[in-house]
Order: sequence, then C-alpha cells, then structure tokens
Amino acid sequence: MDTDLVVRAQRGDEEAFASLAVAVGDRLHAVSHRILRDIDLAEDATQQTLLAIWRDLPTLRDPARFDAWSYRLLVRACYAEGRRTRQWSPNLRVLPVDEPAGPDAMSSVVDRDQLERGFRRLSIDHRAVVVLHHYLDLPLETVAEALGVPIGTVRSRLHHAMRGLRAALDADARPAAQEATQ
Amino acid sequence: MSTDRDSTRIVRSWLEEGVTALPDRVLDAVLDQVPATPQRRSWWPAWRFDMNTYTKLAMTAAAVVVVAVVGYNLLPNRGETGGPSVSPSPTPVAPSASPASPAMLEQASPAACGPGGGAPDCLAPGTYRLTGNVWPGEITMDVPAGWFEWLPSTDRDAYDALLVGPSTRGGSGWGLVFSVVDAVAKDPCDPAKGRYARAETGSVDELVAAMGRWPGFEATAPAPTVVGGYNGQLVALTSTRTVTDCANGSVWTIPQGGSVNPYPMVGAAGKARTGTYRIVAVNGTLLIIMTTDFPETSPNELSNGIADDPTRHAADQVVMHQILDSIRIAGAPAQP
Repeated sequence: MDTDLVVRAQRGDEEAFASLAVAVGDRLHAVSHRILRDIDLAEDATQQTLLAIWRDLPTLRDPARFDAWSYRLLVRACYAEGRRTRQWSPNLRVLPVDEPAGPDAMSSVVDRDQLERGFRRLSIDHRAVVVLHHYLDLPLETVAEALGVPIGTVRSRLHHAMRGLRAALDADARPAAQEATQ
Repeated sequence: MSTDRDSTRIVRSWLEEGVTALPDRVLDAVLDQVPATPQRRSWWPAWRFDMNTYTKLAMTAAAVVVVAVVGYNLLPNRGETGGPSVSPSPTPVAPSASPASPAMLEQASPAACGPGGGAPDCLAPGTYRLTGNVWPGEITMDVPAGWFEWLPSTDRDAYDALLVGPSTRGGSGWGLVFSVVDAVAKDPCDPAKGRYARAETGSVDELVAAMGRWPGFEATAPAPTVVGGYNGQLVALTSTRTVTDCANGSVWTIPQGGSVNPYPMVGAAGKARTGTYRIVAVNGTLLIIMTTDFPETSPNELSNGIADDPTRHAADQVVMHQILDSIRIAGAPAQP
C-alpha cells in the first residue's frame, strides 16, 4: 500500500482517501464475501469498513501497517454483519449450464457444495483465519496481527476450521465410496 | 479420506471462486458519506511513527545501546514473587546483548473487562513486568482487577498505556503511560520551532525546565518524587492550547522516530485535563511516567460522548497510586 496515500488520508485529504478506497475496495470486498458467503452482507461489511477506515485513520500509528489494520476493521465489520443476521439464508449457486458434467466436474461441484455447507458451519473467527491465510496467503503471524489475537489462537482456529472442512469433504466421499463398492 | 494436502488444495481452489470486484455503487455510497463523517482524532497518546527509516533491525541495535522507547509491553511475572529488590543506590547492570522479548501480550492472563476492549487486552490481577523495547532493565508493578493494556492499533511493538477499564472506544484514556524521551519539542504545538538538543534535556531537572518553557502550557513547581526507589521530579501540566491550534501536537520524539502527543493537556475546548509527569533518572536514562491523575471524565471519554462527571475516576486515582507505589525498578544499563 502506498503509505503516502495513507498519510494524506490520515490528515483528512478526501481525494487521497478516495484513491485509497479504490485501491483496497476490491480486495476488502473479496475477503468479506468469502467470510460471510453472502453478497449483500459482504457489500454492507465492505462499506462499513471503508467508512471506518476513513473515520479511524488518524488513530493508525504506523501507516506501513495499514493493510493488517484494515483487515482487522473488515473482520470486525463481518462480525457485526454476522450478528445482524444470525440465520444464514441459503445462498444458491448458479452453475454454468455448459459446464461439462463428467465425473471430475461432478466431483468438483459436490466438493464445492460440501465446502459451502462446511464453511457456513464455522464461526466468523474461524472463517476469517481460513480466508486471510488461504485466500490472501498471509503468513500466520500477519493473520494474528490483523485479528489481534495470539498466533497460537490463529493456529488453533486454522486447525479446527480445516478439520471441519476436511470432515465436510469426507462426509461426501464416504457415501460415494460405499456406492462404488456395492 | 482427504489428506491435509488435498483438502488444503481444494479449499484454496474453492476460495478463488467468487466475486472480487466492489460494485461502484458501494464505493460511491462510501465516498458520498465521507464529507459528513468526521475523522476520529486520537487524543489519547498516539505515537506517530512518521519516520520510515527505522527498521526493526535498527530498533534491535538501539535496544542494546540506548533505552529506546515508548509504549510498553506488559508481561506476567511468571513465577516471580515479589519482584526484584529495589536498591536506592542502583547498581549498573550490563547491557543485554540481545533485545528484550517481543511483545507477548497473549501470555498475559486475559480477563473480561467490559465493552470497549478486547479480552486479550484485559489483564488478570497480578504482577506484571514491562519489557520489550520499553526498558532494558526491569520494571514490575502490581495490577489489580479492572485494568487493561491499551492497544490502539495493530502495532504490537509499542504497547503504551495501562488504563483503567476500557470505558469507551480507544480505551478510557485514563491511566499510566510509560515512555522514554529522545528529543524534546521547544513548542509542542509548533514543530517549526524545533527541538532541544538531547544534551539540553538529558537530566531530570533539564527536562522539567524545558517542559516549563512550553508556550501555552503551565507547569507546577517541580516536586521531589520517588519511583521504584529512584529519585526524580513530579510536575503537572495544563494547557490553554486546543485542538484548533495544536492539531498535530508533539511533546517529544522517541528513539524509533515517533512522537508523543500532548494528551491530556490539549483537547477540544473544555475537554482538556492535567497531565502529571513523574520523571526519574535510572543510571542516566530518564524514565517518564505520565498519569491522568484527575478525578474527572477523561478527554478521550468526553470525545466519545461520555458525560462529564467530576468524580468519575476518583476511586481510580486511589488505585492508580497503589500501582505507582508498587512499581519496582531493577535497573537499566548505564548510558555510555
């Protein structure tokens, strides 16, 4: 991130903030969508995060740490959105109609559906760790910094989250394997 | 059954799917609201790391030679009972060849301390030790229930304040701040006037005198004080300056290149308070403990809409003095 842009926005430069928002908006939205699994909630969370960034920028002491700081604000916004709608609405996926329906493709679709269900069963805490680490490729130390939790907690959350997702995948694999042996 | 590697690969691939672009209408909505959204000014001490030439490597080196810091890291006094003995005539200790442990707040015993602060920032009652970059020697103190370590940002290299419960966003703004000084401002509200040479403010008396000369600030007559067995001076400052003419105030820099703002003396009109400084010399290094030693609602609380109450922190003052009395200083490297 361009720290000069961050510093100017910290000082109240609205144009600098607009440039900053354009620069980080897509990434924040991609993360919030992956955490919340709901496009409307993700848009709200991203909007709240960008406004929080503007409002709280003067309290950011080290502009070089803007990215981690913004992720923290984003995850907080995701928490808020998650609380606002505790009951997750079904999020039907529209699959391409011309997608080949071979065994691999079918397996992939099933994996995705199983992952979707497994992921939705995770708490926002666990989802955030998975997304920051496996989608943004952030090292665990950076994830800990962004979330404001000890690295041990991050490792633990990641372990439990991945175990849950693996179980979701295996739950799908078991019936298929049983059918194959019959 | 999926292997760890398989499931990680599948999860990563799955995460790649989905939206990546923020709709323009969302961005437009944000930018439309910005002019009507005031920025939150950080009046509680904000160490602004406005010089990017300092690296952690430099900080490591500095920790060996000079007491570098601001902020503090509180670590539980693991298994230590009673802390180090305090010597009125401190014996110099050899500088450590390696920097102190990095911030490890997660090892502090977390305790719930109400809304406004995350559980990891709250401290269970016990004896805590300042470490990290703060002080090359050892400072311990007894912390009762209801206090927490304020963490204003993700910067875990510079914990800076021990506050009574986090009553509001950004913490209560009421408590103790430990710092070490590098270059003192000639006018905290006017950077153009420059800073004193370090040699001009190297002693307790010289620093107190410099603070007494700050334009628009009024300092009480210095009074002798003792912290952790070390003699020093206590001086209380008020200011007539406001956020309007002191928007980016700085009382002094710290060795890493940041600076400390003039909280709580400068604030919005009617929202400023007295800052009380205890300055002691430990083997030639000045340790500064700034306290918000007043009973009223703090400027940070006022700025966050908490009603002004003349006795809001009266009971906290008693506890804070108990914390001050419990401070033990085991020494610091003698300055070269």
